[in-house]
Amino acid sequence: MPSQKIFLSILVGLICVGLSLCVSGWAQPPQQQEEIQAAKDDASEEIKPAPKDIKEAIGIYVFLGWIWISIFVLIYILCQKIKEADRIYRLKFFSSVKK
Amino acid sequence: MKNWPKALSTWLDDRFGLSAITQFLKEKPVPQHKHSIWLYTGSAILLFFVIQVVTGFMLILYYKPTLDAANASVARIMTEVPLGWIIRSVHSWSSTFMIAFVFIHLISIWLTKSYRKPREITWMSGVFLLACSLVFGFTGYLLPWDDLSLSATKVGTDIPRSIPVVGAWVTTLLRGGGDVTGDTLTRFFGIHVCILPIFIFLLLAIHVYLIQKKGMSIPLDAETRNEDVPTIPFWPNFVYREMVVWLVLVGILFSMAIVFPPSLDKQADLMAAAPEGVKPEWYFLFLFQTLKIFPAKILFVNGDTVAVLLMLMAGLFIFFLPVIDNKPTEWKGKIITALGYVLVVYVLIFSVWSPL
Repeated sequence: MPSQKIFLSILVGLICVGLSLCVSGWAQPPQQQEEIQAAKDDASEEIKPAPKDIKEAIGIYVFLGWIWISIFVLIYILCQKIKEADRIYRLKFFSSVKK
Repeated sequence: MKNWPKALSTWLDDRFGLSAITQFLKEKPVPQHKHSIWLYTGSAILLFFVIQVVTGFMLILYYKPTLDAANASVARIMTEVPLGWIIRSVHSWSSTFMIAFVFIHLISIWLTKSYRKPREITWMSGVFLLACSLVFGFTGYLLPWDDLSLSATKVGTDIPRSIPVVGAWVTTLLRGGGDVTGDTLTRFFGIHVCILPIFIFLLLAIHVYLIQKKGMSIPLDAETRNEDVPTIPFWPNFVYREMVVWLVLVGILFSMAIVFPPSLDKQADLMAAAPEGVKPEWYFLFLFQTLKIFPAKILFVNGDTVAVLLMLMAGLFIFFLPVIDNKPTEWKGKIITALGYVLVVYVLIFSVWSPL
């Protein structure tokens, strides 16, 4: 089934992107006392979360775009799957007691 | 190795007996009727809970639950850890979505009377899950340890003091002393990451088991008229439909988390005066506003005490709703349905009124 292959490839792709993001970002050395103090000093004012630089900002919005494209593709595939599953159910194809 | 998925599933089936479960799910009927849309709210809650657990695990790697380091560690997550601000934002937004869906789920069950016999315990476990979700939100709000969260926690933990006899003791227990300090922070962190997850996993297991055991309810009018309601199998027909909903919700969640991430205020100062505009999270606003409109004294009784006792009674009423509404088709059942609509209107009006 080609749709199944596309479905699996997209899923595997998304998982790989997620894993690589996690591994690259979250494998950091433990925080030192001086760093805590420095961060504490920085925290004297309200921190507005935002991408660090233009590269990260573009990366994030491209990633968001890809997420939505993947979602639309997956929804399309799922709609086909739903139609097929409903058709098979109506036919009682896998039912032990057939109509 | 062309057919490795099938080989893997056979290998797993030989060891875990998964085919019995899949067979059960294939045969489990899901009713399709005019209220079917509400069936998707339950799995949406589960989705957001899983996201909460995953992002929570990631945050806990860097978070430090101490007076000196809590705010700084959150600042570090937001400024130094790559994509840390997104992880925190997803955690925060998924808690908002989760609690919103818990409210929607509860009110949909109330208005469709799906709690009726034999699903009373399912409802009661759901009310406990709502309470757990609210405590999750309340304890999590303090963890960034900024001015606003400290003041809101002071107000929040002071509310039980109004309860006669045990009130002062409950407040001391919550705070780990007379006031909100570093001990409160450590205590809230422990409750947030250890005690509540144990409770919520147990309650979820009971809740999901009961849903599988008793099945999904059909509309009351169809049951009264003894009508046949069309059904579809849970697997795969219903699960595919649920997956569509999950995908849309994940997309909305990520978009909100990236476009509107929560900020971090400066570190809380225990000696400083409360800042202006202290407010709890949005899901406590209606309770906060209710407390605000009560007068200081009602006859000879403290107004706060009356308000808190009324809220406790309302909580007990909601918990025992299936027992109270034992004749859902009669006048009592209709009044209880009307009360559900009144509750929705009250929560909406008071939540909007509170920040004004």
